[in-house]
Amino acid sequence: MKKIYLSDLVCIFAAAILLYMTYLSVVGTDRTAYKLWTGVLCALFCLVPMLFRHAGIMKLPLALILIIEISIFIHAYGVLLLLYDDILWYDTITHLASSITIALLVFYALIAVELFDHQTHFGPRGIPLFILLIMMTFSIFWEVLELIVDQTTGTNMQYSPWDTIRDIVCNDVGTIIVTLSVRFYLKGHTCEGFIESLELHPSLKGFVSRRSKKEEQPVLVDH
Amino acid sequence: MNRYSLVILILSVAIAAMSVWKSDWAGLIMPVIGISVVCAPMIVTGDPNKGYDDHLMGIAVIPLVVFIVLFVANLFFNFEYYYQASIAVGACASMTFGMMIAVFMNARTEISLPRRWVVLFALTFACSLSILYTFSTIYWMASTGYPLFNGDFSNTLENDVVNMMLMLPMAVTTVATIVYAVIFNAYLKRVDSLELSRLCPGE
Repeated sequence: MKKIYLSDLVCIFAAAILLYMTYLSVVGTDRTAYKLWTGVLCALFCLVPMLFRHAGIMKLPLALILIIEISIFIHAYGVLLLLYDDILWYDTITHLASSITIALLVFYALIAVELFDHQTHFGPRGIPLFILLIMMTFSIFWEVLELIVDQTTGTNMQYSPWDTIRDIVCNDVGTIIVTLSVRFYLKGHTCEGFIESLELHPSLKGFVSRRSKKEEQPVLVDH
Repeated sequence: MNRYSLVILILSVAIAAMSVWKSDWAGLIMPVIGISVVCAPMIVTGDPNKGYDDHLMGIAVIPLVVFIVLFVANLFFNFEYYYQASIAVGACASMTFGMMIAVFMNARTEISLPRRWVVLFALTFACSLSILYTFSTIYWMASTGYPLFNGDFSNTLENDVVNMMLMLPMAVTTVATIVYAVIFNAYLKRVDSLELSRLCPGE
């Protein structure tokens, strides 16, 4: 009999609840298209870690899957039950949770690059620096995306300038939490164990380590 | 001193002076970074000729010159889109300084970045700087009495207009840095990867 993984159950459970909530929300209230898309897309995203495992792309650890599912879930919950509109600090919580989750994913991506791309070396000080810069950039991209959506579709994702600034600050706080944690973690640990546990697909490893023929020579560093 | 280093220093000091003259304190960020980045190799090595690859320093001069020309031209012609254009040019300068910082890290720390990562570092560096401009913008909006809080707005249209003012530095920087990243990535293919990993002796 095929083994059932706890992480798969978590993904399916989260997706099922979101789909049910989407159904209830669409039937019971207005703004149906926005809610429908948010609910269905978030439910699909909840299944991504499970799909990755079954497709042999990568095996994310249960703790990270739980964090991902919680982040997606509270966002969808807020949209479907209008908590973003009704509770002032709800947006703060979702931005903080999402930024911590994405910063952790960036950390995983960076240590994969560190191990498989032999031209690139971040080191224990470079990884936190890159997490910080990449996350601040993602934070900006997200706000710009919200601006574009508001301007083109007439939605009101950015309630006010104060709301925008608060989102950015929350994203940065989440990023700094992860950055400092990673900095302290890397003082006493190596990255190899992490990456081995992910069981990355060979083609994904190849993508991470891809290099052109011209760049085959390793970079010599003149210290 | 390397002639490119000297030119960048002079242009950065000129931009800093212009920012002080206009009381644009956020505008000081870019020239101060430029001066720091150019001086860092000289200070660290103790060699006044130390700098970066000529290709890299050459392209850093362009946005600084364009920025000054734009500033002077705006004094006479008062361009409608001067603010947007100055942000886009400033983002280019920030990216070139970001590439120099990446090269400096390659040369002086354990970090080792190939061309693509040098460009990515520069992009993220320029975008991160734009957050500082956004904080400066909201401070200016708060001090001049613009509506800022959710309850201040009576309709979505009004919110969109004020929000656009706040988002302008980030929006322009986002679009501009993506375009610059493509251009710089292609341009740096001409540069030997060794030159992106060490400080150059200069002339």
